[in-house]
Amino acid sequence: MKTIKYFVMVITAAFLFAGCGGSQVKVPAGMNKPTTLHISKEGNVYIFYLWEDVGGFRENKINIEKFGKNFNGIANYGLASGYSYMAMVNENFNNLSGYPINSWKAMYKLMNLPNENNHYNSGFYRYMLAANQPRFKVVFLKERPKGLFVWDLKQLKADTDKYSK
Amino acid sequence: MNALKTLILLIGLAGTSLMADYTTIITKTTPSMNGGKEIFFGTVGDYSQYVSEISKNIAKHGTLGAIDGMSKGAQALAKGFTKEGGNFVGAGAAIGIVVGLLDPYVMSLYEDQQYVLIRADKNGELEAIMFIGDKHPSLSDEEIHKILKNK
Repeated sequence: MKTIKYFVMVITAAFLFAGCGGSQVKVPAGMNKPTTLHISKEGNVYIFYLWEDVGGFRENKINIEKFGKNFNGIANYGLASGYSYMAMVNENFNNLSGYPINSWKAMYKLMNLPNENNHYNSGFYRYMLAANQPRFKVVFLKERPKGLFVWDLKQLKADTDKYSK
Repeated sequence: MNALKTLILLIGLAGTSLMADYTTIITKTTPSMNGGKEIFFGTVGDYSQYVSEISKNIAKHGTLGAIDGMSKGAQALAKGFTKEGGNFVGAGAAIGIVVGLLDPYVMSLYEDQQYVLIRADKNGELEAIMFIGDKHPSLSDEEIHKILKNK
């Protein structure tokens, strides 16, 4: 009986963790990774999120400092790995589908829409607030593809270093 | 009487525009991009479809020849998806991502008013001016176009 129980527990755990997806990645030398920053990889897509509550529905607002910390981690990881640019490939804002937000300055503005309650149902807010730990999907690039809105990692690092602590 | 009706209508329209709650965001593919010709105006969802058509053509034909006959602006966008437009790491995989992730993106059509105006310069670099507005009250396509053109 104990064996069956043990078997059921193992299978359940396997199903639960299978949903997390992605393989863990090695932290590149020279990157000072925050302990709460989680990084995994699926194919050529990296997934970044913080083991921290960013607010979500309970606060009905976005915690910009924590988003900044996550984006700073993305910039540091990319630069330490030898990349210069990145494209976001999340469902609601996919730079490879032409989504034009490609800087922290623009992102910051997007997070501070006027009268946020009225914009609560926008795709961006719904995505951001739907999860307390939003996952940012990223494809890193060594060179800037002409005519595509991609993020400059050096600029992103400079803009978000203040959130790194 | 007719004049009074017209006046009330005009006040109503002006009020709608004044009360409209929106923000605009300007981004560029490269900071050196300076001005250019308008190549697209429409909803963010339409823009996604527009880009998708280009990427599907490239995925189908595998070459830049697939975009012969497209407008210069479309070609500028298309080049972004190919090695010819830059040494894009994992270009093939990226096209797969583009085609695969359209549906949730298009869903934004029936949420806030999200429009985008795209300008391209002679080098194929792009400038985007996004409009994100509350639907209550909403602005017409023409009103939004006018706002973005003047940015």
